[in-house]
Amino acid sequence: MRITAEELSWSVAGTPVVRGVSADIAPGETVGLLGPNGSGKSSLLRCLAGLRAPDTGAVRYDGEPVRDWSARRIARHVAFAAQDPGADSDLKAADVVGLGRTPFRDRWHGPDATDRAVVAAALERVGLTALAGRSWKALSGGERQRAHLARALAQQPYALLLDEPTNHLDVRHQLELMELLTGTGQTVLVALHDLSLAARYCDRLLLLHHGRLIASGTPAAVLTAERLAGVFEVDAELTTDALGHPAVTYRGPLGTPAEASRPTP
Amino acid sequence: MFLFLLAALALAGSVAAATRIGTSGVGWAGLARVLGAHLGLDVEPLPPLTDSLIWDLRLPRVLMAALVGASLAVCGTVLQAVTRNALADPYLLGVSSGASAGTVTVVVLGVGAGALGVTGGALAGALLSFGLLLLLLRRTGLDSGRIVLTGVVVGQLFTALTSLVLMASADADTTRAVTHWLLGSMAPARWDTVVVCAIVTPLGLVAAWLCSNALDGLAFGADTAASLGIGVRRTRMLLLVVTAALTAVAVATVGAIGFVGLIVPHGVRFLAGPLHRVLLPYAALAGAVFLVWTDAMARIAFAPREVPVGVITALLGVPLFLLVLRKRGEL
Amino acid sequence: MRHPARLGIALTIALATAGCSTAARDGSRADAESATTASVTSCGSRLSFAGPPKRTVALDQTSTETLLELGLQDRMAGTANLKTKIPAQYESAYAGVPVIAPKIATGEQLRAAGPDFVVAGSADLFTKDRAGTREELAALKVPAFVSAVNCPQRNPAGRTPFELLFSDYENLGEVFGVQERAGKLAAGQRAAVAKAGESAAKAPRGKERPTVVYLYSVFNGMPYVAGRTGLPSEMSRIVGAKNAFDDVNEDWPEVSWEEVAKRNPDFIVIGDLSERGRPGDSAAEKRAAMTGHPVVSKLAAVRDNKILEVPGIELDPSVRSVHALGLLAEGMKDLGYVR
Repeated sequence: MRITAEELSWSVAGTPVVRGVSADIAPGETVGLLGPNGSGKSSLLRCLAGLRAPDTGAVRYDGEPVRDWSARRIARHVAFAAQDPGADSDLKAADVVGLGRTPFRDRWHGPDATDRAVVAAALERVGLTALAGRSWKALSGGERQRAHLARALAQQPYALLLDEPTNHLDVRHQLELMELLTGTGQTVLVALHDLSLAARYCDRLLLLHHGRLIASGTPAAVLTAERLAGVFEVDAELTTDALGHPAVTYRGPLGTPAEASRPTP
Repeated sequence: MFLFLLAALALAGSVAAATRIGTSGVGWAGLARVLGAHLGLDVEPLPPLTDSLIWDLRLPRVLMAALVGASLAVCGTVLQAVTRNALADPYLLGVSSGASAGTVTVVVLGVGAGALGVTGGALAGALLSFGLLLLLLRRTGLDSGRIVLTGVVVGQLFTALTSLVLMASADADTTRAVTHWLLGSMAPARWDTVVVCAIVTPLGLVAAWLCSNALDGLAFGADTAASLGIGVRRTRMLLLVVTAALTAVAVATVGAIGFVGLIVPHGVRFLAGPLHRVLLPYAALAGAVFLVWTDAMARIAFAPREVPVGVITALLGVPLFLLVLRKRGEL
Repeated sequence: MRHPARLGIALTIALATAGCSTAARDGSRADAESATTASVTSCGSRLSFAGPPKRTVALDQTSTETLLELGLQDRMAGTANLKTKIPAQYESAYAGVPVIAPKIATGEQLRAAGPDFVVAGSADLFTKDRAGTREELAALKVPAFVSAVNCPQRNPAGRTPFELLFSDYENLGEVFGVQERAGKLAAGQRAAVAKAGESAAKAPRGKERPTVVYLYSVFNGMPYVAGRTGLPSEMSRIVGAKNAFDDVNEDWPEVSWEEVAKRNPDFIVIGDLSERGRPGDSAAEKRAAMTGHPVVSKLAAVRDNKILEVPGIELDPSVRSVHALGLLAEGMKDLGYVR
């Protein structure tokens, strides 16, 4: 499914957070959403997932504006996973994945055979079948992220929107998760902090700064030393790694006030 | 399903057993004769006073305990899910105090007399306390960790308002009656109040049960719930109104009984799991059984004296409250 | 839920009552034991009886003592809510009456006692959370009698508490068919009140009237005194004194010691509740509380020991109240207020 943002703006308590963002995510594409803390990644993602109504501009799914869609209808089109939510639940892993069937169930009926089959398949896909009966509390951080991905998959969406799903994961689990994501063949928009990871797995990148989209394109086109200096305030060098992906080498933070005032030894 | 039938049978058995025990022993045969006589069967009725003891006082009281127990347990379960806080309970969140203040205002000031007026006052008070709670938490959100603290503050405010209304305008007899009622007692239950409860409680339970999916979804926060197609704000409002109504009807009749909404859901989660589709009906049944027996205990434990049932539930509830706090590392 | 059948019964009773009221008046001349019907009004309700009650439950101590004074212990099926000890003169009669509840009786306890008549000193015992409402009992053909003393809004204006007390005796006499004994009791107590009133004529009047503070109990260090609506106010009037707290519209208001000192009464009456046995209940403890208080101890009444002691329970309206009234009249004389 194609997701389009048209001149999207959203503010909270009068402070603009997303400013006039226009972007287009093509069907089947994996797009990375980059930007420093507070650049508006999460907010943009939530606007695109229909969780926030933009002040101006429009979100379109396959060209159709979603402003007046019900939450349920949106949920049947896109799945959203927030940053490590819900640490204190008694639900079992399979129950959490089962939540993904919510948009397809009515109030009166419990899960049916289809629901169970979809949940089983989603668990299988993320390799959690063996842990299906385990309590959420007893799952590790990596297992929880995978369970959330399975929950999103169980929604059988046309697009996945994920907010920093690799947070708190070790390298192996980060790689596993990204492999899983790109392996779905879905339209994926994923907010990421790790630039190298984004460069390695995404077809295209969107770079946000102070709520504005300042660059979009292939990883090689978006990730330049100048941009990293201007947006992330780091002194970085861009090279190509052994697999042919852009790789970021950080020399250090650029002269922040703290840096400047620190006495030299 | 088999387990659920078993639980329903346990409730029926509890109601029958609790109706049997009390001041004067009537025995199963006597109980059957009372029921038979009132159901129009051809049995020899008991003497009018004994019949009245069972039919006019004890049976409505036991049924009331079952209905209120189910109500409060479901309120606790719902509030715990909506606020994502294991300590949420109509009593701790100040909703019961709000309902009490509403009831006392109606009773003492005599605005809108009758059972309906009292229930209306309780509902207004409960909604008001919820409103205040939402207002105080508007920055941090309803699932803030501060909700219990804020709830206690709101509860204290309404308790103070209750005292103020009493001091300002009630005579000694009304004050006495209200003070006793505030502790929570099943003694004033009669058929007319049971009927009100028997209509409102099942409606509330079904309404809450129909929101099971939403309650499950809320476990991972409002954004995740909304992304699952749940109208979070609307569902929350609906559930808060349902909770307020259930609490209000209970409080208007039998006073503020605390901790049922805390104890029961925690116990039932162990057995029925956290999915609300299953949890809510079991919580309702367990709450009913729990309050039927606590009320029976209140009647007979210190006989011939009667203890307000709220005292017993608090005695059982406070240790559990501390246990939950401890488990959460807040104590 | 209203039962049509029960409503019917209630209606029947109401109609029967209407029919009986005239009969009762006609029958009042009849011999006590042969009375078959009686009908009295009690605190706004018309109660009617097919015969003298045989299983009466008295819901509190004052009603219990009244019934015992009328010699009705054999017609009693229970008592409840004993505040203090039963006085010696009723002890043997009381011993035969079952106690259905040591404190306030519940609806279940009352019904389990199988009463055909219920008597209470005040209407607030007839609530849903206590013994059940009077309407509920009426529907069960159990008339509920409430003392006229605690029924201010239903009584004809201007009747003194003692008159109301005596009307209780007469009404109960009518119900139980013991008019003669009840009449004697009322007449005797009336005479006692009149006798106590004699001293009033000889006591100083107007601004010279001696003022009195009734110290009923001391709870948490705070004194409870007689206010305007309690019986002591009326007792003071009868014996020619003036209750110093007549401006407080309560039976037994809680006040401060400073306020007691400010009123500076000519004499003090201590209610001795030692038989109740709670801390601060005995007359000695109340005396000590006053002599130990820095300000109250300086009062002339305390300094000159112008303190009377009466049984505290008798300061509330009951069949024993005239006893306290007599003590009060005697005390006035002893303290030299009566010329």
